[in-house]
Amino acid sequence: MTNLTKLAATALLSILPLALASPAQDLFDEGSFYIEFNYYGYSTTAPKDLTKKYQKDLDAACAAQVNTCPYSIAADLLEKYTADLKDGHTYYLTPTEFAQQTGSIRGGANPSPGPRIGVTTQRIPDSSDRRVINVLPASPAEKAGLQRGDRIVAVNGAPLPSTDDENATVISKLVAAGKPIKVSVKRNEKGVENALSLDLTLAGEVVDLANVATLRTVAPKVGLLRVPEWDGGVGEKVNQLVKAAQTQGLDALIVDLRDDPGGVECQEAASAFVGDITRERADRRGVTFDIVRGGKTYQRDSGGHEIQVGALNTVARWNGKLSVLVNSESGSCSELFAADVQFAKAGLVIGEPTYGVGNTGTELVPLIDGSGLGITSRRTLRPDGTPYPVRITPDIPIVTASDDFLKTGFDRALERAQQEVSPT
Amino acid sequence: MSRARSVTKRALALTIAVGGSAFLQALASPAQDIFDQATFYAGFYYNGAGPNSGFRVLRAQYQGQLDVACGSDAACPYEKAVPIIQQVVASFQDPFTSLMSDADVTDQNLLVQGKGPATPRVGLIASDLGNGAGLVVERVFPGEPGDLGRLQRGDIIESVNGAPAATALLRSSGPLTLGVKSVSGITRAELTARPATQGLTPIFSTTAGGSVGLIWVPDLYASGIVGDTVHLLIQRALQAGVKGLVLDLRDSDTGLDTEALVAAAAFTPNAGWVYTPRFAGNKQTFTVQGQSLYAQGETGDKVEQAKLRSAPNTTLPTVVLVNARTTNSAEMLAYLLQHTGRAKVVGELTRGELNVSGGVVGDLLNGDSVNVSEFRMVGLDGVPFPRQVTPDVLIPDDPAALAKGVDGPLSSALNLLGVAAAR
Repeated sequence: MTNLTKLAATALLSILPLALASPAQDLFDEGSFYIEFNYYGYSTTAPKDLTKKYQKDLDAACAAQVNTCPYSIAADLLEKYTADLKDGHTYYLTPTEFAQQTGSIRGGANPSPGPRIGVTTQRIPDSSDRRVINVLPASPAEKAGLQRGDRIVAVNGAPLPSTDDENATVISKLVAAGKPIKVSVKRNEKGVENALSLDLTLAGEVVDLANVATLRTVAPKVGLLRVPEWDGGVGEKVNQLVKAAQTQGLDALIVDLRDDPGGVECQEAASAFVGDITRERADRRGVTFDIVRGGKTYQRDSGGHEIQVGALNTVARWNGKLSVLVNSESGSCSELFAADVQFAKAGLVIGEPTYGVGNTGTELVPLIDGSGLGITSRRTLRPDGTPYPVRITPDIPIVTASDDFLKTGFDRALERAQQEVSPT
Repeated sequence: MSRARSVTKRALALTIAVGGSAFLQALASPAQDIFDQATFYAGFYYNGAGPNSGFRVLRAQYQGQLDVACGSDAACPYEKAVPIIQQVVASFQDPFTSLMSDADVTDQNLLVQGKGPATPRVGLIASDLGNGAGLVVERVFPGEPGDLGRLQRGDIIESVNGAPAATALLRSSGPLTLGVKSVSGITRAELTARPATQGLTPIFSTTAGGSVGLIWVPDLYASGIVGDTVHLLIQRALQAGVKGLVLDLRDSDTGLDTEALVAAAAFTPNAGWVYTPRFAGNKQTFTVQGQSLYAQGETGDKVEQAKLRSAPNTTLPTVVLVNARTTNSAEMLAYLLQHTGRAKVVGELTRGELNVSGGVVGDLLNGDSVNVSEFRMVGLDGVPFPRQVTPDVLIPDDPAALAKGVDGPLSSALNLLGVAAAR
């Protein structure tokens, strides 16, 4: 702060015209620059060629409105551009999607914009009924007793509409209207499908959409540790839950990564099961090692210079029995977690082959119209330089587990995991 | 801040990647890489008052120089591009748009968190008196080596480790022995530059026999702290029963615009601005209402960005002191008070970054970053901010007078407040 230069105070006139480009050209320039420059995946298509290809499309679409061509034209083209790379870690996100993605990664409370009951449901094939896939902790649905696997057969006494759109939105619309609703469900019991019929009354409220990791007991001494998303803070949370499982005297843990699309901090979480982990990250800048050692996180550059970047407050180490549940929607960070467990032979991975982006990472880049790009910006390798697997092949494959669950409500993968970890 | 955020997360609905061998990235040289980055960052995002013909024209203009510098070296190193990038950023004729080193960015991020910069410093601002007369100490950062060495504003540093004093010598590493002519009577100071443990916050004192409160704002970096501290110090001034305030922004080294806005809101309810980027639909209006700092886009509601700890609205007569080192966010604070008629400004023409804002839009592969004037500053009344603050009373900084214990601009400020400086 001692070398201070005095600036000559000359007045500056702005007389040069600004560069003229339409909103569409600006958005396309920005998006294509970041993809061309930052892409570091395994696509066989070169971004530069795609830029040329879609610039021609943009010129054609904007021909009649060279200076005013709107963002939406470029958004469509960037959507196609990213799809052409055929790389699940490179994608275009609309402003709403981008805000949601960055918000969920940040972690912390995420209040819903309106009243919700807190369930994820999916339509059952060849039926108007819907299957409950997920129930948010502390939500009205959980308090009313709604469970994963329940088959919703009627709302307010009426069967669900048959057209897809209405079927998908009927519950949320009734909840948004503010009045309590009556949900009629059928539930499996003791291996018998639809053994129970229940009417549950519940009203929507503002729920916390933060998809936090949870632990519950599913059989004597067996805990189910569900990680719905690798949100910010989840590394710490998983370590806390593992400690809690130990405090409760559990013998076995089933880590449920089904439908978990990824996120951050899966390395800190995996260390609770396998101990220290080093992953190599290769990107446009070169090679960096991400290290979790003794509950602390470090980055080491290719020259061996290491800096600490974080530390867990709770450092847990699970030595009990372990299964990891995955399905075709388990992606990215979930695949890295499962791979770490397989490398260390710390437990069995059970379920469907995973999504298939386990060998790369994405960076999120905001664009000028509030939309954004996920760009495959790095490759993930083991410390010996071999890549992480693109897709996890489960030790115990249950190939149609998700479809069977949707049709019948029986969670065969979970049942199998319980068998594997239960004392015989 | 970098625009990119690293995560490992797949898209929610996309087809699965297929195998096969990756395309071979056409290898550009390291120098070409950072040239491509820097020209894009500056040319694409720049919206200051300087000339900008866009990144394509910039690239066309400067590529020839890079080709000459690199010759036939396919592995042309980063260093060859750096001087050309310096020229590119200088072509905007706008000091806000600049090339920052990795260390600069690290320090800036630490300052925003309220921490001290990692680069070691003695915690002094000193000006050369010229003609071998030494350096006059203008500012002493509390708790830092200069302060611990008992140096004071107005002291003269005559030598550094036996050599005639020069500002550059104060940045040397290792122990420094300063030969000093001090107000306090000391003749020597032993100190060593070190990283400051915490950032600077506004400091309160009284002057003119306790009748005027003096608030010195060294910078506006510490997020959520600087503005609130100014509010707190105003309350303290009111409790002390002062009749006027001097807001000393001389040497105030920019920071967060929002901290300037929060501080200004203590004096005037009409503080605010519209950030105006080059891109359609992206204007953002910043205001303070009650105890809330708001941002509002061109569409949609205003969104609360921060809560203020208090909402004092002082009507005490106020004068703002500025000099040529009052930079950017600090210029905004001075201008908001002047433009709303809330305070007179005394001192020098300010640095000349009042009309723009923005920040680091991207980091280069070599670790440097390009800081870009992304926004033009426009007042809530639609009047664009001028390039710099023109004081109502123009008085140049006078290090020689300060060395004799005379602070001319402060005396002038006290005159405006109707009180005389205590001698």
